[in-house]
Amino acid sequence: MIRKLIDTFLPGTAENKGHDLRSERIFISVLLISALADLLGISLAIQLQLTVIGYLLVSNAIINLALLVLYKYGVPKNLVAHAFLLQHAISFGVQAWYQGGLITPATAAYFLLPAVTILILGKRSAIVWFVITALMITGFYLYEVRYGTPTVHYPVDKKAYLFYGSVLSTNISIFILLLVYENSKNKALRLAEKRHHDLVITQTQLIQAEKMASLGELTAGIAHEIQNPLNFVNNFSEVNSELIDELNEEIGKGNLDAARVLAKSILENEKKIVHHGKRADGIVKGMLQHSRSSTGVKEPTDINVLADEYLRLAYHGLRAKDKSFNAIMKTEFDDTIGLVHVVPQDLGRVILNLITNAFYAVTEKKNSTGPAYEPTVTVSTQKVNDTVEIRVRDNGNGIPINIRDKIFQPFFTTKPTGHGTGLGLSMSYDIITKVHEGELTVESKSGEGSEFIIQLPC
Amino acid sequence: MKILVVDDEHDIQVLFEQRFRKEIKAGTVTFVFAFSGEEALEYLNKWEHEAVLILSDINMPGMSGLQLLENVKKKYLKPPPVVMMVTAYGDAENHRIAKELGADDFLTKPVDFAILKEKLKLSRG
Repeated sequence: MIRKLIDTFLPGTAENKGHDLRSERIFISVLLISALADLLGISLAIQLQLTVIGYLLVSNAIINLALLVLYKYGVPKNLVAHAFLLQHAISFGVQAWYQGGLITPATAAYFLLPAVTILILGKRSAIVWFVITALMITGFYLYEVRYGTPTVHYPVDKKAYLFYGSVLSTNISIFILLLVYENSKNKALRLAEKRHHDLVITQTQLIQAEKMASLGELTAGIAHEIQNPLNFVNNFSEVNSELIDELNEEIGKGNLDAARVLAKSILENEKKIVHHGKRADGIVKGMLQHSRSSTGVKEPTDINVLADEYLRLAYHGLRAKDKSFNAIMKTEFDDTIGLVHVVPQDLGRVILNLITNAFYAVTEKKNSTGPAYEPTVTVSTQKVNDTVEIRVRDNGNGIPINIRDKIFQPFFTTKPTGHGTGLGLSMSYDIITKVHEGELTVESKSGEGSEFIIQLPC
Repeated sequence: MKILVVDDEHDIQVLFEQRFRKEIKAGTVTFVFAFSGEEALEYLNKWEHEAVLILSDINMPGMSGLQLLENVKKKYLKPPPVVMMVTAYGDAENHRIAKELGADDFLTKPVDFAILKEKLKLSRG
């Protein structure tokens, strides 16, 4: 019910602001509590025959409610709040004057003003109102030092009753105010906790999405890629059945030389079938490896084969998305590397990510420059002393110097919203440095391109 | 009839030579192979009007089959030779673009040579 009463005074514009209306509700509560306190004070004023204060409190309550209505109909909160505080500063002053100056409950009530200001307007305004009230209290003190105590306007025998009533109502007011503040603070904390929890979940989902996104890009390319080996497997098999028929014919004719030639062809075709069958197998395995979560197990891996496989996958993945795209792929493989102990799925993911980025970079440059530009992505491997280097080079626009140290940070991306998760390079960095105890560095020249260097111990 | 086959897969040569071994033996058809779009254009520039039919893959590194088709149909040879494009199964987008660029016919991968031979007889007749 109280919540409903509070919400009737919410400004019409507030609902569209998209936050939880916490500060708006606190503000309305403060004004309502103060109006209530004014009304309660009226009975006290009547009993003490303080007619002027009685009228003052009635008008206070009315002004309070009027301010609430103004607030509801769009007058800015700042303006309403300062009017409210000013009204009370005057009211407390007048009450103190009538009650007998400095040593009265009304001057003591001044401390309410900066306290309330902190709740409804924040620190800066509270400092202002702290200074104002301090000056007013000091004013009363100086006045009394110089001119003596102002005339007391109520029956002195009721002094105890006045102090009792005033202090108690101030006590109640401040208690309720703090109660309102505490409740809404707890609510806000719970909300913040929930938001943080949601954010952590979203992050986990994003990391999974990053994996699935790069997989999705690949699937189309892989479907394309798998047609080539299948074409050979199907057709060489059919050719072989024809050749076997011919072979039988020749044998029937006793033509052994021709039969030998045919048998040789069949054998060669058979080799091609096996080769392309294995190739298709490799493509499917590569896809599965990429989608599976990593085993984290290091195994002896041919880095050149791995890099070549992912270069082709990245290329066809991109082509499947953008048909007009074309780039020169170059490989410079060092055949002396041998097998290196790595987690193939993880390293493959890194290579794929670097190559996809490189293709993205050259596409961007191609779109902004003329047909004279030849987009080129080079993947090279090299054994240097005790490390194996894998370099992915592009001749794109390069990485601007001011973002070069940010590119490995999680969620940093230069791609338009929805086109990149900003996790690719940061995941790559973790895989190389944490899983493989290697290094991932970048060299880049504006306008000439970038080169990412993976260094793995072997 | 001379056919220029364009594909970045080198085994395509062995495959075609075996699939058409009878026709090649009989001399009814000759094949020339190019393993990239650029190589194909080079050949066409050198031996203009030699090939009556071009059979091209689409997905190739460097110049794509579609770019080759565009070059052949618009820029280079007049009258242009018949161009048959090999598209991956279900690739409607490439099919549409190739048609717009003036491709004369289509084959899907994996290539069905019975259908190809049928088409060749048609285009010869």
